[in-house]
Amino acid sequence: MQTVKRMKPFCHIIRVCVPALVLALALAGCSGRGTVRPITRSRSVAGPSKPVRPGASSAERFGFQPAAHPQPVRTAPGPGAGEAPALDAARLRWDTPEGWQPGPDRPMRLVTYLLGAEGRTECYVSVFADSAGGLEANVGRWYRQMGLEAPPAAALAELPVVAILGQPSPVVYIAGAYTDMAGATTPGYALMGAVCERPGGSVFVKMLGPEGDVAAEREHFLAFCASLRAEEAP
Amino acid sequence: MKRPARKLFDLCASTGVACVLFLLLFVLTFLGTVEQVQSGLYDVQQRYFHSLFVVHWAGGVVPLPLPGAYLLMTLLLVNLICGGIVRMRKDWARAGVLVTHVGIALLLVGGFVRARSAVEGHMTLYEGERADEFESYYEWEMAIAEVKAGGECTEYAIPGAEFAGTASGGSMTFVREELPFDLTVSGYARNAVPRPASGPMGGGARTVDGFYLEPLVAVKQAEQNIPGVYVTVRDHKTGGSHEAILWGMQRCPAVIESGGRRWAVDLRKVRRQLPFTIALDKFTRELHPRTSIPKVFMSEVTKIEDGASEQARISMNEPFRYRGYTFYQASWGPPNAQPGQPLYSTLAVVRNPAENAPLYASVVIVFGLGLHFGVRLWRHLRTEHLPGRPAGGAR
Repeated sequence: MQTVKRMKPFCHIIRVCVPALVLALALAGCSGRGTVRPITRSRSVAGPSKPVRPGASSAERFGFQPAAHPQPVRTAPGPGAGEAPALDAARLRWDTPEGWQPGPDRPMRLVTYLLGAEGRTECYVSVFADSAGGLEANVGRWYRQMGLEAPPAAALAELPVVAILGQPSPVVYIAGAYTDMAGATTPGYALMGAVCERPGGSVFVKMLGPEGDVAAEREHFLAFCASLRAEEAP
Repeated sequence: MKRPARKLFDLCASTGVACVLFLLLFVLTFLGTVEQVQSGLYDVQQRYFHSLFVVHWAGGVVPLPLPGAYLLMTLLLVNLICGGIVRMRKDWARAGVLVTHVGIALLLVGGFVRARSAVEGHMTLYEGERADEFESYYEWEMAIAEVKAGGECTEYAIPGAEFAGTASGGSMTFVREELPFDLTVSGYARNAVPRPASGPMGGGARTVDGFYLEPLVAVKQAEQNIPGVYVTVRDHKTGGSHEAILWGMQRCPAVIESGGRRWAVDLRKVRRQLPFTIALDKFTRELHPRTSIPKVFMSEVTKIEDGASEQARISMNEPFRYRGYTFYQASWGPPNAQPGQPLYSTLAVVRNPAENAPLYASVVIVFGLGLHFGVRLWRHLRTEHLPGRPAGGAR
């Protein structure tokens, strides 16, 4: 009898909780939303919250093209290349995006930034006095680093561009498994790179890290590229 | 045979139920804390603690259905009221416990009010700038506003939660009488990036204007997820439709023409209006010598309302409170600003109708415990001095 008495509260719990649980689940299931819903929120504003650019293409809206300045893609220096001054890395200036922290100096890099939630993503700038192999070779190398086959040369002409030092510069975004120089492979990585080939040298901007971080910093990367500028000589 | 109502009340007031609830809360807190490593703070808060039910995947493979903290706390409140207040014997010996229970109930109610009604976000201002709205950290919305040459217009907003369900397929159509079109949303992705369809991975995806939306794995830091969605706008009059991809970091809204007017459709963080304006007059940042450790950072602001202004200072641990809103000094930037470069100040904005509930509840609980132990002490002392009891308190 003692056992029966002790069991009673638990029987009560089961008797009440089980129907309550079933009812709650049923209500949750019945709260199905129709496919047509009214827009209930409205307010008066001075205008749209972002600048409006009627006629802007998706490429412009997503930052794949400089807004309102669509540029033809050029993969090689244009006419008059020989007349341009040499690219002086010491005179390059840029705006640091919010949240980017300066990283340690590395060989062959003008600057390195650490970014992302855990600082595992880095973005750096390299400046060369020549083309450093050119667009096709470097983009192909990046693809292979990410475990992918290099795209055909014709596909490079379709790459989006960002203006670096006034030069339309192709941008690539590659997601895959990154293999570093030691041969270690890390899946779930992404690489975003921009190649600025200009008379007198070339500039490479490369961002590499976990795909989520790279995707989240994409806009910052493009803004960073676009902010690169050469200070005038005194 | 007890009546069912009486049996239900007894169950609600049961100490056994309280023990089960505390045990479940312990389990939920433990599992939520463990899960936080994988899913991040915000997701765990939403799934485990702001929910009625949660399915915890033990070891990532075994589903373990559990009541959410929201449900458990509700049941705990009911249990506390029934067992700890209503059913409790009302006499001086238990007055302190009763008051303490009232304090705990107040704490729980404050928690519910906060969970249901509190909003928070941030506003970022450079010196000389002002704002009468703030932006959410985590919530997204779709905003539709008419593009006019000047003057005010009405902006319509669809909370992200209303179309987030399209992530698993299907679509959702939104209508409003004042709009000359209806808007169908589909293919929502909580974290996504638009990619050119001509790229190496563009095959097979739904393409709009040469782009497709590639869903990414959501990151733990919820505020870093950038959503994307497909929208189709169908004109009521002509029946024509216009498709677009909206992305959380797009530079400018998609512009559509309908009813002879232009409309901007944007996907952005939720913006909430303040009933007054905050202007940043001056931002001060001082670092400890030869370090980047902040010594002082403080915003001097002006609150403007109906033409009247009031100045205030906001610094670490010294927020500015007005009309239910609290402004905290949260951060500043740019992080690598050079000397002389203009700085911006970011203020965290919180509106919590139950902001003071923990304080009041704590006062009540302290009073209740003080009363309880005071009564116990008094009773003890009185017993000790009863006639006939030997001196020295020996029993």
